[in-house]
Amino acid sequence: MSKSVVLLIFFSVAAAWRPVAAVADSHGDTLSQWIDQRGEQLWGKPPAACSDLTFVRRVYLDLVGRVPSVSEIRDFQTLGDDRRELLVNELVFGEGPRREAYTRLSASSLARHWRRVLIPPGTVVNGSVQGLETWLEDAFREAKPYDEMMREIAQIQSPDSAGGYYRLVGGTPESYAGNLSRVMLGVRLDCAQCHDHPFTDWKQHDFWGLAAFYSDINGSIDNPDGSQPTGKSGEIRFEGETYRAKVLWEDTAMDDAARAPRVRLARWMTSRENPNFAATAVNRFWQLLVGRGLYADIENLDLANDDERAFLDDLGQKFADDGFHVQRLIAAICKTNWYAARALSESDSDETFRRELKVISPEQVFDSLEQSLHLPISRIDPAAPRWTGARAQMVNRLGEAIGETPEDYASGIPQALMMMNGPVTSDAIDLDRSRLLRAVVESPFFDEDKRIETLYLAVLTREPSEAEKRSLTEYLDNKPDETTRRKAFGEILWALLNSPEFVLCR
Amino acid sequence: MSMTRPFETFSRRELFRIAAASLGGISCSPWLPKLAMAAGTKRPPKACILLWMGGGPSQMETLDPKPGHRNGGPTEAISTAVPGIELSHNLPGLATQMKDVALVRSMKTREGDHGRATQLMMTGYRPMGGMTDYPVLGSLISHRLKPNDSPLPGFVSIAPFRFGNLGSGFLGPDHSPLVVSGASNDPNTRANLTVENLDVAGGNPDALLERQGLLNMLRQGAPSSSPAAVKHASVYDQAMRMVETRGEGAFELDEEPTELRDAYGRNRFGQGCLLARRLVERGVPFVEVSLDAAGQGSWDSHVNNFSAVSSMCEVLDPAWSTLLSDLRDRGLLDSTLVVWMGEFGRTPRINPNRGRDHFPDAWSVALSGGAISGGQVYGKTSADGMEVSDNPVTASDLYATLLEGLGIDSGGDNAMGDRPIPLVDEGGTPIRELLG
Repeated sequence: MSKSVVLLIFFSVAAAWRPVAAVADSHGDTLSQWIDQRGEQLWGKPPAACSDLTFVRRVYLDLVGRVPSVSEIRDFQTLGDDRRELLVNELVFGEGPRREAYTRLSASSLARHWRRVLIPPGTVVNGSVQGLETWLEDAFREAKPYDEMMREIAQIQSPDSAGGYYRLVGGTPESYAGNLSRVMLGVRLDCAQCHDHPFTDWKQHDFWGLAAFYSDINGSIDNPDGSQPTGKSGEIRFEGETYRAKVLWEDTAMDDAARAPRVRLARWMTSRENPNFAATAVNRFWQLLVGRGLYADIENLDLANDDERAFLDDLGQKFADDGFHVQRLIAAICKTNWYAARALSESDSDETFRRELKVISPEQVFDSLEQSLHLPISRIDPAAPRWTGARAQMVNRLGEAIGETPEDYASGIPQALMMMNGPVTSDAIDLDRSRLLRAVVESPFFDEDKRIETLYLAVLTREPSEAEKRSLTEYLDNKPDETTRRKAFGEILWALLNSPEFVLCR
Repeated sequence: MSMTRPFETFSRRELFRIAAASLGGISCSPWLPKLAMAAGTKRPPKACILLWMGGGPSQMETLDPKPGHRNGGPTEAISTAVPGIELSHNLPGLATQMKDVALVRSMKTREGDHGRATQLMMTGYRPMGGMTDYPVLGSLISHRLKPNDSPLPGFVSIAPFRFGNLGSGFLGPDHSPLVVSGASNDPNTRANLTVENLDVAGGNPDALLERQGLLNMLRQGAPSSSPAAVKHASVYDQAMRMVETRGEGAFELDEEPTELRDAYGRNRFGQGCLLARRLVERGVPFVEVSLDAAGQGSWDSHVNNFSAVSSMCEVLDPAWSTLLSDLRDRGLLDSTLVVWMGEFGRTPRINPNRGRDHFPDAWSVALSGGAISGGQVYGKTSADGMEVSDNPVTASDLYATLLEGLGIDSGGDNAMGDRPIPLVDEGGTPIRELLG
């Protein structure tokens, strides 16, 4: 009952703001069909769909940031014919009995993704990124429209606004300008900081024209070789030249650039007329969910061909028409045949649709381990690994090696050693300490097949293949006594946790 | 260990089969010394050991003393094995090795902040906002010189201490450092120099073979042509070989004669230098050993510079000089470039706290081994130490020289996507006088 009241309020508010599309397509279903058709025009027939279990694993990882529990898998299997759509609605819009949990998890999962978009791995940051992540999480939980979020980032009035993003990325107009154009417009201008760009059309005055919008933000670091404020807002000096605030794709500086420059920049940046804003946004969401952008070289949008660009522009337009509603865009993408396609191996052509395995993030690794291994997660249990520092340790170590796109596996030997021999794994395969092993091995209701199957479901969200079952049965049968046989389940669990499948999303 | 039938169908890697066949299984210790000896007999390819002096050591208390000048303070100069070349009295051991050491006394850089200067000296590139994530020297060398078949990584970093979080950058995790921690200074154990997570989970080394078998079975389940799955398998296989061979025994420092261990110094840096030699012997192309704080000292000597530097040198000098003689005795010095540097030098003027502050205008580094021709001084500072009076050397020049010293063409590029990135930042010229 209360849900329908909430929905009613939601609809009337939505209707007041975004008259038509929102009500007609409250769960992104129409947009999803449109994407399916548009994709077929570009790529031809979609590949075969993935299995149900693969789909469940995918959406749980993508939307709430961890693998599903065995009971969530069972629940899904009872949902009926349109179970995939229902599950997406449950996880994206928090429909159903676990509303609180899913809403919280999906907001924090999105915030983590976007924190990495805003501050890519490898960036030397000034301070902790937690403030920025919290800011993002609040915005996603409130379902703040995407253009509004980005406007707040673009029109900051102090280095601490918008989660302190300005300060984090270096606290200079030039570093902010480089990041904003990369994040929001899908163009890399940094080369033009020192000279006109050698490969694209960007000129030095494009770069510094953008940096000039931020010339009067305080809190810049002292860097004698960097930009110098001129004392006037909307104006900046670099190596003897003065540049006035100018937006991209314009030849001349703004009139009266000192008048509220950042408010005007933010409005231009996020407007529907901006040629790159919405297109870059939908491309980023597509990349987060599918692995590869609709146009793969996501921060060099200038280089997309006409067909790719047209798809992005059209989808971007739909996103804008729907009031930049992030959750509906996500639901729409997740309901397409493209999202649901089976993972394909690499093809020779860039022209066709490809879906590779994705590598899960450091936080997803830990949160999935927590789920799979039944680690204690209660917020008041101080012994839970989440709160003892085990999570931070694992996330930091894995965070040292993150790929540039969701498809790059970038971990090295230290990361592999941690997964193989680290404390979480050691506990997990120890019969006395592992909750999962105890539950599985000591349950009187399970025969050995059932035990193997449950371990597979808990860790990999799939059932063992016939060949795997045969191998494992023989492996167990070869154990001389009951003790070594029980211990062998620990070895099987070790292998599941260290298999490529665990850290990849099929 | 008897294997079950299905496991025989797993394509286990060659090494496991060899280990099982020739040594009767994989239980650890008995065959390790053999393996280590075998590793020692191979002639290793070129390598580089970086002695990283994070914090910025004072040139005037080390390589460029100024006795008799007010700026020189109480530091005395001593003669060395090469007539005419003098060092600070803090480095008597190094003085005996001078024939193999080339001093560069004319470093001239522009970064006086720890973070930015570290970035400059560790990557050879000036720090710039955004854009390119340049790899550190170790990753650059690993990328160039790492042997394909080694179970050890191409870049090992011992007890690292640096200002700023730098890594392999665009060269990726294959070339990021394997960190050897050194949390304690306990002189009697090697527990202070270990690789994290090298012990087999569950404490049973025999489990390793079974685990590899199970893993191979599970790998069939992942789409095998997926680049991510292929990469995962190769990284895991390497990590498993590290665990299995305990890093080819490199970390068993107690195999070394007591006198040699004593000569290096029974401290983290000294034993780290010894470990560096053992790693180089086993084909690791780049090892970084950091000396940041010894006892109460630190290279960042804003206060009490003279006692701080002398306490640092008590640790540095025996380790450094023993490393050079040890490498020479083993015939490794010609193939191993040893670089000593920090991120900048210290102000010649002594501040009111008897300290010296950050100074990038005129400072020193030292090179030995590889193609470096030792027993010489390159460049010169003015009598007061305030400026370079002869042959200034930039970070790019130094990088070009280091690469040439290892036989790498310093005019070459790194491929990053479709875009070539020069190995050395613009304007770097190798110093021919230093290259034999």
